[in-house]
Formats: sequence, structure tokens, C-alpha cells
Amino acid sequence: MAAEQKATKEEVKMDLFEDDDEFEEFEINQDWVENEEQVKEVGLQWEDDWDDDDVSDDFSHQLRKELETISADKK
Amino acid sequence: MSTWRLLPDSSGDCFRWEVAGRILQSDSEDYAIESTAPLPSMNDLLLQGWSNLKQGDEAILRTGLGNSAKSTLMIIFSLIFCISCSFHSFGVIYLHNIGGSSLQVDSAATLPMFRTASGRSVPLKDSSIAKALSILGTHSDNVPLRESGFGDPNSFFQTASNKKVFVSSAGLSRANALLGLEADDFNGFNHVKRSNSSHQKRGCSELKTHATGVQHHSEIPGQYECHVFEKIADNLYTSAVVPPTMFQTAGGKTLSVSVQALKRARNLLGDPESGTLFDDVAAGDQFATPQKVQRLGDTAIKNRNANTGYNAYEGKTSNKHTATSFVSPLRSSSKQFRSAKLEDLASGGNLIKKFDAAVDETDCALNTTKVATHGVSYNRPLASNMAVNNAKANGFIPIAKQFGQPLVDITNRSANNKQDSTQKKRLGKTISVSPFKRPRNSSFKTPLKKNAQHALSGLSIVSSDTLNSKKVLSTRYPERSPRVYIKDYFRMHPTVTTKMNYVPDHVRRIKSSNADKYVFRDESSSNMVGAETFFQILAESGASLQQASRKWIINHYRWIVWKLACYETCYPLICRGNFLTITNVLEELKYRYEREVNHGHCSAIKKILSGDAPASSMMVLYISAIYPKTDNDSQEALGSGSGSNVKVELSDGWYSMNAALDVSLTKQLNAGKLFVGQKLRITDLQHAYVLISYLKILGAGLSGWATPTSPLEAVISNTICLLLNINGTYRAHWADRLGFCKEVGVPLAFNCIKGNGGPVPKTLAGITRIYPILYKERLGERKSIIRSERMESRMTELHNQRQVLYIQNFRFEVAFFKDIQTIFVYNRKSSELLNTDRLTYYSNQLALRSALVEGLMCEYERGVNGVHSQNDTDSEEGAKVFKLLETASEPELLMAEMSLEQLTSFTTYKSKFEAAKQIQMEKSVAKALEEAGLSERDVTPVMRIRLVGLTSLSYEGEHNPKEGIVTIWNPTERQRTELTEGKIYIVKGLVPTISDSETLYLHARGSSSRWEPLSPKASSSFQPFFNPRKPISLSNFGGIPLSSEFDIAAYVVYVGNVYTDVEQKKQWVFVTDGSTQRSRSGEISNSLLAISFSTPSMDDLPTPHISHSLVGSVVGFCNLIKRAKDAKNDMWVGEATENSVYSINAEAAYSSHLKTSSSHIQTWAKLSSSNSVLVTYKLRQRVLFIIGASTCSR
Repeated sequence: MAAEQKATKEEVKMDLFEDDDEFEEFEINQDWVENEEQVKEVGLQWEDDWDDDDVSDDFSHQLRKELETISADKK
Repeated sequence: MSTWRLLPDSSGDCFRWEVAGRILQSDSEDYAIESTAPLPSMNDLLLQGWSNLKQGDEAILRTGLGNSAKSTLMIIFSLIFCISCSFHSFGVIYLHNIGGSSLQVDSAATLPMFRTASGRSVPLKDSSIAKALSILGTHSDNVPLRESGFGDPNSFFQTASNKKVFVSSAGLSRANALLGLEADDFNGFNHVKRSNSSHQKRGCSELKTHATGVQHHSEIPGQYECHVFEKIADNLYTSAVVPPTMFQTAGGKTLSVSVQALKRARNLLGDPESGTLFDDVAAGDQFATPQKVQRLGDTAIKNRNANTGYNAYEGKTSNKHTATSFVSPLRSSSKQFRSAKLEDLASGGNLIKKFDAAVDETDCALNTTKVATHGVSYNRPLASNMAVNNAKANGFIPIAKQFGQPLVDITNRSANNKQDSTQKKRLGKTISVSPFKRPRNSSFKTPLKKNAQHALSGLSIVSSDTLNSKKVLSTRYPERSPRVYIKDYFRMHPTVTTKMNYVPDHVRRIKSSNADKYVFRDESSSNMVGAETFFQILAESGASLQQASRKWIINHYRWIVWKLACYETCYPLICRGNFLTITNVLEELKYRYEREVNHGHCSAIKKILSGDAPASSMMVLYISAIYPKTDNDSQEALGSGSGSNVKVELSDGWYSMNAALDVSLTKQLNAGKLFVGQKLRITDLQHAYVLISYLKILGAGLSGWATPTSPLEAVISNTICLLLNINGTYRAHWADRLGFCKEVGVPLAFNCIKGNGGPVPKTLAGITRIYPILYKERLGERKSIIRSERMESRMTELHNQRQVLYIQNFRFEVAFFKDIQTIFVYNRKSSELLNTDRLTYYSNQLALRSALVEGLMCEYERGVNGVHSQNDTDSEEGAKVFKLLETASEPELLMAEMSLEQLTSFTTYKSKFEAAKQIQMEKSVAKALEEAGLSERDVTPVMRIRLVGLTSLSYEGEHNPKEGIVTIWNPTERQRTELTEGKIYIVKGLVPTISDSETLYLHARGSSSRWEPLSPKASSSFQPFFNPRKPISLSNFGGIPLSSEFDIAAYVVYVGNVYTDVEQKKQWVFVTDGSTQRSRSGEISNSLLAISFSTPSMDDLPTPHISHSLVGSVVGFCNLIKRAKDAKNDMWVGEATENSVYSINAEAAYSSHLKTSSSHIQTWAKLSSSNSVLVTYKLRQRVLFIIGASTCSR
């Protein structure tokens, strides 16, 4: 057990997972029309209304799902 | 006699000598041709020739085959011939090499001959020889001349076809210049002789054609050697007096050597005049002109000639003053490799940059070499190998290859070469570059020059070299194996935790504001390890202190520690204290160094602050801190208008910057929806934890930014900040990748747009109505009027008419004014003929002219007179003629007597004068129109579009879409024609206006807004939003909600007169569609609709809105608004607004949907008119009754 813990300790965090701050390097294309093709096909829209407290937005949905997952795990 | 052949080199730019393989004549000892190795280049031959010239009869020209020839004259001829005939234009020239015997030029049998490629002999005539001698200006006793045979003075030679080859004077000049034998110096043989003695004493320097030199230097007797270097040096010095010394490259280009370069050479080589030149050089030192180094290397390897000594890179010497391994000062490649070698050995670092930097610095070559010679020991035979290998490994492209041609150079070589063949092999691979081949426009510093002081002072150049090198600190980028993303690793939201007791207090206390001060306790040494320690560790690891400065380390240390602390806090069961460790921090620091310094990657904030990316790009940032605003904060930068009393710090995980929130976001902040490190209540869990609020930002502004700024400085500054507004700021998912978003920004739902939320970067909405184009005319400050297209065209017409009329009046008045003026002046002159009354009349008439016309006239006159005041001579002349003709009684006669020049001046002046008059008149008219209020109208076309928010089909809630009206100023042609009702568009560039109305009002400029239709497939994922236009029947009119729009086709019963009512001009139009209704009294009658048209009374259009002639027609009305019913008269009421439009043409595009309805009503109207009951007549009477009643009631 102790050996295992030691092994865990020696493991560098960066090798475990990819952080959200490990940004990608890419060319920022300002011509939104070209890039818009995919959106034109998908038709998504951002419906996160700051004033919307009835938790019907994406953010709330995400949170709710997470909570449900946690609850399920607890059980 | 062996035969030489001048062949173009593989590059095509140079030539080389080759044995033709055909022995035509052999007067001396011949050696078997064993090799087809390239013979001396033209450059070499020239030098040889010159050398031989100098040496006179004693000079021995030894061919590459070992043939020596006292062929001075021949060589000269050859040189002149070759040079003057342009190397590039000749394919092959055979040159008979007269062997070692003395050249008997007076014997026809022994005349030197040229041979063509086809083997034909080209006899060299006596005349040619004589001519050459004549040109050379020398009558050497050794070379008897044949006086006869001088045909063409410039025709020395004949080609194989017996054609004479004319040697141009330019060619001769080139030859002269090349040989250093200027006109006055052709008799320089004495000089040659003088130097010959010293040369013989020294006998150490040889100009050696590299290939043969290497191949046969010691093993094969009779090498093609020429003791010429000294002569070169000699000549270099003489050239300081005589015209510049010229060298010719292998490509045939002539290059002059500046006095400055000679001085440097003198410095480098020692002063030959003082006898120091090569005094100490061991005998056998050679100067090679490697023509093709690669080949040289190969040859050297093949022959394994230890004495070949192509050891320009070895540099072993006993000379205290001058390097035996002399590298031509004009030769950069040797210098490069030498430099590279030295530095490479010293530093062990990557020298590619320095290689690159060294390529072009010819001027520095001397210094560099000198530094290399004196500053650093040569006794490192492997150095050059290392350098070369290093260069190759790093993709260094030898210049010889870059320029695609063989290079010729002079290289000192040491006979004391003791390196083994292995080393030579390596050296053989080294590419030698002629300095003349370098790009001439580049400029850079040689590394050795940069470090010259270090080298000279004996200091190690390691430190500086290390600073500039790209030391790889982390191998974690690019990543070698795929890793799971943070979301998949933790698999839960960071807010959810129940085990805070696992987290030590010192970790829990870490905030973004104090993370940089956090210190680790090193268990092994009990030392405290903080940012400073990491700074030192990185420095020791080879990080550039310039890049990984203390500030840089502290900044990244701060974000890394905070991030790791957040992991520990949010996921204590997973992390268990293993994340916030020294190792992890160090690895992350190294990773960041690797990406930022070695790979040049920049995070979002750094890119924005450096000006490499617009702040409006979509990105994900998190709030790292919220501070109260201080007095030092720039009010402007932090959004003084927002009334916010806090400033927010946003971070991309690498850097941070301040941000200003708009009013709406400030409210959200106050409401706790924007937060950092605060408590958040989610369901039943109430735990303190660190939560980072992630924001997805699109279309943010940047305030206070003027020049590229380092994020490390910007964060301290209070002036630079990101301007956030709520319409461009969304809450992001906790695991969204920080920084710029690669994916396309998702449009904000139209329903979510806040009227006071600032510009909407992108939204998605359906078009329900497109209104006809309107025209807004500015009538002055804060005054404007909006007209329909029909009214605008009327207004334009009216305006034009007014303008024309005014201009006519103006011109008339101007003419009248001039007449009056003329008469007045005339009458004053002859006042004795006039009575006082008449004079007074004219004076009064003049005074009566408006001041405007008078002023304009004065201005006009000034403008016209301005033409006279032009200064140029032509104008003056023209003006004189013009005035002369103007005042002449018979100008035609005068013109007939004028010269052509005078007429031309007159014509030019007249055209100028007329043009100026015209321009001035136009200006005067424009000014007059402006003062009369008839200048160009300021009219802007406006397009209005009604939009509606969209609801996804999957949405289960109540469908309550928000409506909005967009006003597009100056719509583009595409927007006018392509936008379609009923389609969904992704719209960019809308700006909402603050309004209390339920309807959202937005505006946009045609050029800056973009409308892209959503694909039909994607559109089908939304709930239907569009009610197509359809004609309304008056029988169903009750079903339309009040204030809603409707379209109708109707028969015009009556058109009322225009009247003014509360600053508005109004007009009622009564229509019916033939439908019937039952009145209260039970009477059945036709339905009537009264439509009100109104315009602001300030509009001075005299024509009515609706012509009375429309009575009896069927007209299609669109975009009318339903108003309350006139119950008293049992009549429906509608209102025409700015957006309403009507047309009698049912085929018109805008009212095409009324076509069927119109035709039905037409039919009804015809029937009604012919009906004995006269329905339409009755209706008209009814309307008149209503109107009369309403008039009476007033």
C-alpha cells in the first residue's frame, strides 16, 4: 500500500490528464462566414439567459446532470 | 601536346578546364592522362596567366597533367580570347597547351593553335599575335612579333569555321582589368620580374586548383601549380594605387576589391611590403581554390593523400602572427565553420542561429577569422566536424547549395598538415563558400563578432551562448501519448465535494491573490521552496533568464499553484495531496517555458495584449479575482458608465488582465452569478469550496490598449482592460478549454438579448416581415423625416425641379448683375449724357440685387481671376495673348500673325481659363443652392426587418418568442434583394437600443452587419415561427388582434382630402372588399374599411398621399395596422404607417400574395357598377354621410 502510494506520488500530474489551460495553438479566423458553415448546418443557439432563474438553460442542465450523477454514485 | 578543353560547369555559370583527351602535339614530356578531374577554373587560369606574365620566361605553368609550359603569350591570348568572347556564349573551346618547350611563335609550324570541340584546329595567325602584343603594349624580346597580317584590328582569332572572332574593346578592357594591366600598366612585366625574385625566395605559396591540387599535389609530378598568391597580394597592394583590383569569379563575374578590403587583407596577412607576409609560413603552404568542394572532398578521400592538406578547417600552425590555415577574408563559409567549431566546442550549444547569422557578414569575415585565429585554439580537429555535423543535423543549408553553383575561393592550406585521412574525409564534406556568392542585401552579425570581446579577452562565451540557445526543458510538449481531458479524468463538477476535511488548511487558504507567495516545504532538506527557488531551478536547467524572468516565473507559479490547489480542494479524494507538489509545479513551469519560449505559443490574453488577436474573438476565461475599484483605476477603462464599483480580474490560466463589466453584468455580479472563491448553493450541499466562474466571451472590447503590451505589465496597469457586456458574455461549462475557442461561436438566442446589454456579436432569428425601403432625410440638427419610396421619389423630383429653377434664376441674376454693372460703369463715364434720374435708377437697381448674388459674383470673379495669377511662363504668355485678343478689334487678323508658340500658349491658357470659369461657376451655384436651402439632400435608405426568436423543437417549456425590429441603415444590395421572409438567419453586428417595449429594437449598418441563412435542415430543428402574408377579408376582420398588421386588397370607394391635424397631414381612404356584414339594426350592408394615412406636416410635399384618381380601382395594401372599429358608423378602421405600402398593380412583387383576392374584387366591382342597385354608389354616399357627420360633430 505504501509502495503504491509512493508510486502515485511520483506520478507527474501532467501525465495523468490534459488541463483546460493547455490551450491549442491555431489560426484565429475572423471570417466568420466561412466557419459558419457548420453552425448553419447545426443551428445551435446559446440560450443561457442570465436572468433566467428557472434553471432551464444549458448551464443549469449541465449542473443538474452532474448532480444527478453524483446522487446516483452515492446510492 | 596535351589538349585542354574549357567546359561549362554543372551549374552552368562557371567554366572549368578539362583535358580533352586528345593529344595533338607533344613537344615535351607528356604524362599519361590518368584522370578526368577538373582542371583549373578560368579564375585560376587567369591568375596563372598573370603570374606567368609576371615571371616572364621563367614562369612555369604547370598543367594539371604535369605539363609545364612557357606559354605566357599563349595564356594571355587564351585569356583575352576567352574573356572577350564572353564565357557564357561559348560552349567548348579547345586550347592547345604548348608543352614545356619554349614557344616559338615566329614559326608557323609551332604556332599555337586552338581547337574546337569538333577537333578542328584553329590556327593562330601572326597577325593575331601581333595584334595581341600591340594591345598589350609590350614588345617583349622573348616574343618576336610578326608585323604582317593585321587585318581587323580586333580580330585575334578564328573559329573552327574560319570565322574571325572579333574582340571587342569592352572585352579587352575586361581582360585588362582582370589582369590588372591597365593601359598604363601593360608593361608591368618588370614589376612581375621584380616580385618574382622574392617569390622564388619564399616559394611557399601556391595557387592551386583545388581538385587537381588535392589529387596530385605530391604524388604526381608536374602539378598544375602556380606560385601566384604572392603576386596576388602584390597586386592587391598595387591596386591601391592603380584602379581597383579585379577578380573574376568562376561564373565570369568581375569583382573589384576595395581598398578597404585590401587593408583588411593586409592586416590579416601581414604587410608584404615589409616582408612579413608569409615569412613564417612553412614551405609548402598552399592556397587552394576549391571549385567544387564536394568533389574535392571525395577526391581527397579517394587519394588518401596525407599531404594534400585541404585543411582549411584544421588550422594547425606554428605561426604566431598569421594563421597558416589561412581562410580568405572574403570567404564566409570557412569562417562559418570555424566560428561554429569554436563556439560549438566552447558552449556545446546549438549554433544554428549563429550559423545563419554568420552567412552574410563578409565584412566581418576578417575580424571573425582574426578573432578565431587569435582568440581560440585551433588544436581541435574534431571541431569542424562537430560544427558540420551540427549544421547538418539542424538543417543548415550550405550556401554553396543554396546558390546552386560551384564556388571558387582561395584558401590557405598548411603543408604541416598532420591530420589523418579520417579527419580529411570529414573535412571533405565541408562546403566551402565563396564570399562573392552570398546574398548582398542581407545583414547580420557573425557570432564571433558578437562575442569578439569575450573571445579576445579570453572570457568564455558559454554563458552568452547558453542564454540564446533553445534549451529544451520539457519533453511533455508536443505530447507523446494521448491523455484524457480534465473532464473525463475528474468526471464531476468541481463544485461537488463533501470531503473538505481531506484538504489541509494551508491548501484551502490558497487563493489566486496569494498563490504566488505559497511555499512548499522540501521534505529532504527542510527548505522552503517558493517561486524564487523555481526561478533558480529553471535557470540551472538552462532556461533563458531573459525569457523566464523572475516576473515570468512568479506569474506562472501563481496560476499553477492556484490551479493545483483548486484540484486538491475540489477533488480531495482523487488528488490526496499528490497534485500540489514541487515536481508538478516544476513540470508545469517547464511545460509553459517549452511552449511559450521554445515554441512561441501565446495564450489568449498574451495574444490580445500583444495585438496578435482581437479582443472580440471568442474565448473562455475565468474570473480569478474581484477587487473593489480603487482611486487609481482608470474610470474610463473600468466602465465608469456602468456604475460598477468593482474590478474583475480575468485569467486564461497563464496570464490575467482586468475587465470592466457593463451594467447588466454588474447586476449579475451583485446577484452572485459572477463569482470567485465564494460559496455557492447547489441543492442541499453547503460547503465552502473554490469555484471558478468560467465565462465564454465573444465580441469583447479592449480599452486603454495602444501598443503591444506584456501581460506581466498589463496586469499591473490600470489602464488596459477588457470591456465585457452581457450580450457577449456567457457562462461556460466548467471543463471548457481556456483561451480562444477553436469552434465557431454559437449565436446568442434572440430571446436572450438584453436591450441594454451592448452589441450582439451573433444571434439567430427568423425573419417574419421585411418592410419596404424607407428614406430618412436629415433636415438639420435633430430634425429628420422618413418617407416611403414613392414619396422619396416625388421629393427628389421636386428638389431637382427647385434646383434647376433656382440655378436658372441665379444665372439670370448674375447676367443681369453684370449687365447693370456694365451699364453703370459706362454711364458713369458718360455721365454728362445721362440725367441724374437715370443714374439713380441704375444705382438702385444694383442695390436691389441680392447681397447673395453680389457676394457670389465677387467670389466668382476672384476665382476666375485666380487663373491669371498663375506663375508659369506659358500661362503668362498665354494670358498676354488672351488679353490682347480680348481687347483687339480684329482678333482674327491678330491671330493670323501669331507664331505657333503664341497660339499654343493662347489655346492652353484659354482652356485653363474656361475650365476655371466652369469650376468657379459650379462652386458659386453650389453655394447659392446651399444658402437657398437647395443643396444636396442628406438622405439615408433604411430597411426595417421584423425578427422573432426561435425555440427549439425539443424545448418543452412555453413557447414565448421575443420579437424585434431591426433597422438597417444603408442596406447593401444583397440585403435588399436576398433577405427573405420566413427564413432563419444568423445575424452579426446588431446593436440593441434601450427600450421599455416588449419588442426589442435593434439597429445595424448594412456594411457591418451580416446575414447568413441557416440551412433548411438546421432550420427544421426549430418550432415554426412564420405566418406567411395572406389577404384579409373584411368579413374576418374581427378576428385580427388590434394593432396587428394586415394586408388587404380592396376597392377604393372614396379618397378624402388631405388635412392637417396636430402637426400631421392626414388623409382618409375608404375601401371595401365586397364582403357584407349585418349591422346592429339587422341591415345587411357591405363592409367598409377606413384607412388613415398621415405624414409629418413639416414635409412640404404638396401632392396628396393617395390620389383621388384611385377611386374605383382595386388596390393592394400591405402592412396596415388594425385600429379600433368605428362602432358608430359600423366601419373597420386601419392605419397606414411608414412601413405600409400600397399598389394598384397586383403583379407587384410586394403584393403578389394579393393577386387572387384583387381579381375577385375586380369582378365584384364590375358587377356592382352595372348593378341597378349601384352598390358602389350607395357605398360612396354612405362614406360621404360619415364624413359629413364627423365634420359636423367637430
